[in-house]
Amino acid sequence: MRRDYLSRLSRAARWYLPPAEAAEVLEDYREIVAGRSEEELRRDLGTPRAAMRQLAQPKAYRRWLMVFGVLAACLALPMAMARNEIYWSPVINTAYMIFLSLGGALSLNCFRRNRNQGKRLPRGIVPLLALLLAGMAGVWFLAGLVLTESWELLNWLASAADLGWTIHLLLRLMILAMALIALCALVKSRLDDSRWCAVYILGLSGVILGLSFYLLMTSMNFYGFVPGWWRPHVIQYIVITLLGLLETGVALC
Amino acid sequence: MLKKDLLELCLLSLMAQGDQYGYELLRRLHAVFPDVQESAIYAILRGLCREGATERYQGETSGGPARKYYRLTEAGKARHAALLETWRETRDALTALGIE
Repeated sequence: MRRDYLSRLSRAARWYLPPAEAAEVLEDYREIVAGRSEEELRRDLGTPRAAMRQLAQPKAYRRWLMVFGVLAACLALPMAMARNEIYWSPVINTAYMIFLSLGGALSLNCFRRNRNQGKRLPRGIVPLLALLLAGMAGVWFLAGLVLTESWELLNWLASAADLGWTIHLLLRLMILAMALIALCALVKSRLDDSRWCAVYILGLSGVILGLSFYLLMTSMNFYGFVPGWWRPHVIQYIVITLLGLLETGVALC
Repeated sequence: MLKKDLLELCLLSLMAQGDQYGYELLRRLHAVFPDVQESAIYAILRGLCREGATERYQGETSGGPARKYYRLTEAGKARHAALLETWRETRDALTALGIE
């Protein structure tokens, strides 16, 4: 029971307090909670959340909430823009690159400064990175088939009549899954180990990559037979992928 | 004088008597003010530390986990004197009104 209280307290401390202060407070609380039942702890100390909220410095906590809000917005706003693409089309690709750069740079700045890790990567990071890489590879695969107009290779996926709809659905699901993984990783970066921000960054890159391709699929632009029409799109996807991989690597170091 | 100031005064007064073991400070104050949770007292103690009124250090131990002790700084002594003065004024004002 005491362990439950301590683990909840530990999560609350890491959410409300800067990492160094959270570690110091937890060290003190280990001594304070020793030998008491859950009931006594609740009576004498209050809920873990309330106990830690009292220690939070309003300015530092507001700053963290603002960083969290901006990083979450870097995931959510591109998706919201894609839903209303018609209003955003002249600036949407530039905006996507800004969200990707901002999300990557801000998370690296915020979490690498507070590095708290040991040598071993926390459990779960590697499988999730592999999953996100598979998602990005999936986007590349679909993009490759569409851009090279190799429609016949997609016949296994759906009938010709349903192909467009199926690709849209598949892309949406992949983007949503990558966004959810990235959001969870963002929370874990604060509560657990700062290297979880690598998962956030790769998830954000996957979302931006998926959305960029999704926009191409849903845009009303007709390229006809203009030779090399696909080139700017491929260059954009390469830049997104490389930037994402580079920042992920930096976050893991 | 707010209750928080009163708790601060108590913590500083205890430390003015000599260096104090942090956990013991919480237990003693909670015993006197049972309606105040130990977490609130701990928050005040940390606040005093953050403001530079107190400083903490690890005491010597024989085997067990290191104990953290708190002591007053010069700024803490000044804060203690100011709070004590406020307390005396408040007490005198109440006494003048016949409240004891």
